[in-house]
Amino acid sequence: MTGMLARAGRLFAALALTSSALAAQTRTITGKVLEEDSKAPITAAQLQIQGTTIGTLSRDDGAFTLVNVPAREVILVVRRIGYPLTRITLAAGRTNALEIILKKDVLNLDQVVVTGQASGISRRNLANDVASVSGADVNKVSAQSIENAFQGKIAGAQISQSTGAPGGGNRIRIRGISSILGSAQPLYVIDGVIVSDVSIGSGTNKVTRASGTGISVGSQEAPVNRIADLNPNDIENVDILKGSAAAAIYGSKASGGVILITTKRGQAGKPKFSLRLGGGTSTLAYKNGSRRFQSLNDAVRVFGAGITPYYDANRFIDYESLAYGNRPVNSDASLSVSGGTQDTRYFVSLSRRNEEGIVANTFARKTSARINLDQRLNSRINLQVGNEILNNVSDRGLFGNDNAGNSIAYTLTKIPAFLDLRRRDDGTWPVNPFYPSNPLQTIDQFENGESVWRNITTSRLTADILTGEANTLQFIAFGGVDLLNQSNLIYSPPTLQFEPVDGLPGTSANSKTTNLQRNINLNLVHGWTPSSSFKITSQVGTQFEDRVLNQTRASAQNLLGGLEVVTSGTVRDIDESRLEVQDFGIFAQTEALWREKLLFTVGARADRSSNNGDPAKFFLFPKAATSYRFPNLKPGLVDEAKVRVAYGETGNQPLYGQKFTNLDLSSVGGLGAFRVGSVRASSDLRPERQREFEAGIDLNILKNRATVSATHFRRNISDLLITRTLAPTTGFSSETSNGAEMQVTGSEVSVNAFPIQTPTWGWTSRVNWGMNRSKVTNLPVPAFLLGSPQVGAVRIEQGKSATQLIGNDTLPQAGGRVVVPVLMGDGNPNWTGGWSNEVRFKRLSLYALVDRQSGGMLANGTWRHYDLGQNSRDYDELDALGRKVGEVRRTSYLQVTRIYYQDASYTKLRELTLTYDIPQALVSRLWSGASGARLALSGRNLYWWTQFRGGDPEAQNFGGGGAPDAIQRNRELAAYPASRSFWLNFSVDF
Amino acid sequence: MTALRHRGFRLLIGIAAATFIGACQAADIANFNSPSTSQLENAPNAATVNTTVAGMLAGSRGSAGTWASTLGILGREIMNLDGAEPRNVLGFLIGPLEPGGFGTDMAWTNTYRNLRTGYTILDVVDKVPDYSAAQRAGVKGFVKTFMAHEYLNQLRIRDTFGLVFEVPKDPTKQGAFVTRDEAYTKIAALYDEAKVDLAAAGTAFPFALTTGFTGFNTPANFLRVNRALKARLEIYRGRWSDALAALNESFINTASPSATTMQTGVFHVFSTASGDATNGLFDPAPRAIVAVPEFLTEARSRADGSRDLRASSKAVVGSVNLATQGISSNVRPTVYPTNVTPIPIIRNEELILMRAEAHLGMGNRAAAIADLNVVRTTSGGLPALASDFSGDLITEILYDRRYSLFFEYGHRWVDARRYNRLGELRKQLPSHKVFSLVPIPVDECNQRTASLPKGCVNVLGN
Repeated sequence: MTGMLARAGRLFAALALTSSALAAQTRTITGKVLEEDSKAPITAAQLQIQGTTIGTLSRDDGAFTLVNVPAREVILVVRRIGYPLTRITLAAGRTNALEIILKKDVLNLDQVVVTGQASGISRRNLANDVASVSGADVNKVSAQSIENAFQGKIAGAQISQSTGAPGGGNRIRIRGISSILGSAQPLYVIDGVIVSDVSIGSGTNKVTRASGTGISVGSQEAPVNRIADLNPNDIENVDILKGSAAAAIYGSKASGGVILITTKRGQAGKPKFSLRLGGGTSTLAYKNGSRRFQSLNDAVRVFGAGITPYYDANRFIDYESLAYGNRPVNSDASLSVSGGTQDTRYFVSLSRRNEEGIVANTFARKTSARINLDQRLNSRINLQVGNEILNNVSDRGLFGNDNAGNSIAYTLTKIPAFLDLRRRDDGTWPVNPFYPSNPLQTIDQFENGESVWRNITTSRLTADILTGEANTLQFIAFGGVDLLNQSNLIYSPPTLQFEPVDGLPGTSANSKTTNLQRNINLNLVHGWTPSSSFKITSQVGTQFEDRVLNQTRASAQNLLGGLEVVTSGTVRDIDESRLEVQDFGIFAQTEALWREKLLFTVGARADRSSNNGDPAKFFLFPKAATSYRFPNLKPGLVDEAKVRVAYGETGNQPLYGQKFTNLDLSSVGGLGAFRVGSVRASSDLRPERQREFEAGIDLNILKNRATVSATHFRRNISDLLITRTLAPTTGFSSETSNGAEMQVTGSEVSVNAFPIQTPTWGWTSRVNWGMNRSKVTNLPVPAFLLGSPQVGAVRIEQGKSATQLIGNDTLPQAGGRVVVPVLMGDGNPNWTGGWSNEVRFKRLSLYALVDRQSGGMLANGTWRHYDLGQNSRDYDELDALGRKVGEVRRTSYLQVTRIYYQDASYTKLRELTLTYDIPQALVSRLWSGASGARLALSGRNLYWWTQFRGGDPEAQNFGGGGAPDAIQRNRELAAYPASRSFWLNFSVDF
Repeated sequence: MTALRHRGFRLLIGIAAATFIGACQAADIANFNSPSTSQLENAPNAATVNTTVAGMLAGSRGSAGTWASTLGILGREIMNLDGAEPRNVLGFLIGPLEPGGFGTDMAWTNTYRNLRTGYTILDVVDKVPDYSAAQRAGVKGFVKTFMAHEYLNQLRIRDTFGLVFEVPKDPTKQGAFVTRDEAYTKIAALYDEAKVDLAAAGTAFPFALTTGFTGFNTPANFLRVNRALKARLEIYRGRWSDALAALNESFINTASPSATTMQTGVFHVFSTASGDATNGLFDPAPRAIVAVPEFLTEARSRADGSRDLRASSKAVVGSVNLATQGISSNVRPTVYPTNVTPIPIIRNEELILMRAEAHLGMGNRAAAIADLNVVRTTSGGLPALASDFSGDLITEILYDRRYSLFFEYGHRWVDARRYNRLGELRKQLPSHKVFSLVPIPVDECNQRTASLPKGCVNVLGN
């Protein structure tokens, strides 16, 4: 034994099975792995003799051969994704052929779910509620970003798409809010390596002046959160660690939940290709309409006498159709190949998705290439590496809030339908005499180019240090680098109508951003099996993470010669910001499983971060969980039940720079200038801390045809970071410190049912439902507003929901009326839920997903601006008192904000797919090499039912990256309009 | 356990241990994007303090546009008809003005931020090792003058609502509100303290000043600016003899008057350099800012029938007619013809008009008329008033102040309030209101719920 290992060490990467030393007492086992009922061969099943390194994979025909199996009684373990883990006892000396029958695990009970940094447990025993979405579910209908593909599929996750622009841009809130100032976005982990979901602004603020005159403000530029770069076709499975109890292993970065993505890996065997081709289009989903002016007098009342020559009672131009009427041709193609030997396996994929927008000249083109390699270096060391290169190019037009009169959707609210701004026959554009811009010209000429190059490398090294029958010890190391380079080029040519308005025709902004995220994660996992019914898995490990984000921006105005390069401008601005964070964590946990029934886990993680006031101090995040399984409780009715209870703590780090009180830099007439910054920092900033208690029950019912899972959680969050508004007379606007406390409670239910599974008919149905409520339980500062009550504000107030929306109302008072801020409603929905059904008849299957948000509230900024432009479609309708309703709304909204606060409930037909499996005979006749082909017709967001007046109740003006990102999500304003998309897909395996 | 003896594993464990130890160094990552206040507070040196003095100028400049534009709207000098921001009409012309309403802050926050910067300088200046005693006095005199100016900027907006005259070093403490008249007293005292410091400041300031201070960048010359600003305060509170005394020590100059001498003064300057600011009042199209149409029509005529030169040189009928919410104007202000045109802080023309007002307040009509005539003949090209003019001289002074100081500092609104003539400001529509003062901003009110300042109310207007 020693000799063999020594040799293996010298030849680090060599195969080291020298059988001679062991030949005396061994035998060879052969057999087949087959599926229950159909008896179809199961390929690539892993077969291993327990407690040894002797193993193999089943071949294409399901057959396998195991050599050097000890002659004594051994246990053969069979593993295959989608099938339960099976153990077969091989009696001493037995050598006859085996027929191993596996039953398809439609309920996913044997799926292994991550519970430690480097360990997992089968779903059957899992003590937390962890949602999973399979790669197949992610790819039901082509989506802009993987988060879109999650919509309606995860109980308790609210996912809203901030803008309809090509390229995506979503915000996820899992189990409600967990922070007031910090980010609510979850942590993304791909193959064990943390990757970035950063949102980087484009620089359009230099043109729109949505917030000040800086080059970029990020939050109001509808940035794409960069997880959208990932190629969904590469995903094998996604696990969502929703609560702290499950996410505690990620410590102080996990308060928003953790999304674990596992990519596909090679399967041993001949190269298998899979080709997917899709083509589609999209159309505008909702029109606001505009006012039909009744008379010249009406027009003069709005636009002044100057409007007279432009007025034409018979002209009614539908500007939304002109602006949003582009009929894009979209495509989505991917090709992957997988294969290899038992020791070397590969998975290679290429994909390209080209999406054009319903607004001309807007698009998102995503190209990616991935290679995943698995190499067994010797009998004990296994190396997995993955590398993905991505390029994402887009132009998302000019949308959202603006203060310069040029955002396209914003401008449309101000253009009367009789005013003709269409391009003239000679190619010139009419000047809009009543507003600074002509939106049709803006669509034609404005460029908002964005290009992202990204490289994500992941690696995992597993070394079996001990492989005894009672004791195993593994060293598992993960490491990875996520390098992201984003380039934004904004070009607003001098010919645009709005450009000379500031006397500086032409604006160009060039931004370069680099985000580098590195982490390494070292673990020792010890398994101890004192008896066949008791197993203890323990691990210790460390994690180190480093993140650097550097942004350099340059802008120019008054572009000489209309050149795009910033050096051609006479008025230039530069901006640079840097960020670096280093985190270090140590963790340990122990998991005990008794008779596959009782599971008990305890663990803790200690984290340190350079963002904390004291960068050397460790913060401890413990967790504990237990579950008990009742197998065969009442066979046929309740086949199995499990009760589970879990507790865990996670944190949310302060943001970079929050611990400093700045001496702000500026310049005045050529002199450098310092001013005391407006935000005062508290010097002892520490992570926010969540303590979550979760309890639930999981049932398998009706002959294992359905699973029901119900979870209730209560989360207490302390040390919440708040920006306390200071009295301005202190000289500071605000102070950032820990202190507030909040409680979030909620429930989730999910049901997976497979009522009919016959060769002819199949019916799968899934329901998920989630709700949560938050309450600020302790606020050491006076109640404060985020936002302005006139256009949408959240008030953080002790004893109240953290998402309550406040607006102005006019109330009678002695001696007159008084305008006071009052409660409008709550931004958080009452509940969210999704229901999907897939019905299969022979080769045809129909799948539909309906997604509902009940409740929630959104301040409707687009409608408000139609009214303010005296241009809304119902402006002239009369109310009971004979007044024009638009006039009443327009003149009273500052005092009665309720008008534009609307219920954001919706029901959306998120996904619809009709699939036809082309008969193998037909496929083979056309191409003998093909093994399966499908044709699918699908659509996303095909229809929605909502009382919300305006494009999309999911839309948000403040996109990711804006603080306070977690809470302030209830303002819609002139977003890129939402669309429905249609696809025709063909896929073939060969 | 045999495996642990193995080289391959030893290598792995070695790498793991090295990584672990490497990671154990706690990273104290600096603030890459900005210096921190500790640099100023804990180890001040001359360079840091000098740069912070420039920060006072930068901060003060940050509010200058607000005085001209927002107070200009309240005082019906200009209108902001930006279609993208209808609250410039809804908020400032219709109202009511609410503590939490649009634009009520009116640089309140920025003012106190400047004051904190000022107090911080005063706190540390005596600790700066590389200043001489005279240089310290120079810093104090300059900073105190600007701090007094900042206080007065707010007092003229909040008027009888008063303000907070202190910025406690500990930001968890709040300064107390004082009444308008107490505030006048304290601000006047601060100007006087600054005067004493400036007198002891030697021949040169240790810090550099912008080109907006050309001619006023030595302690002796800047003292004359200090007095000019003090005179403005005295005019506001109607202490005419104190105003005259201050004016006498100011840079007032009526000798050989010309357009150039009228412009003598100190200015906020702008630049297009990166990190600097441009003049936000520059709106050539115009996109948002127009003069009230009556600015031209109510101008007096010159001997040849043409308009007062101050009207014709400060606004023109443009080709763009901005209209929103039922009001419109095609009169474009030309006071700021470029995006780097300076905004006056105080200049000679105002000093002469102040002296006329002070003389009138003292009952010396002839002296008042003499001063008025300097301005209206030089700047306006109008015929001089007869030395025995018997009409209402207040009306004449207010007319001259309206046209001489148009769109600079929101003078017209403050002047109309001082003389109870807000009713004379023309409303564009009957639904519009004229407001006499501005509430305390809601952020301030919310922090003082225990004893709510009296300015935390809506102002309905008339």
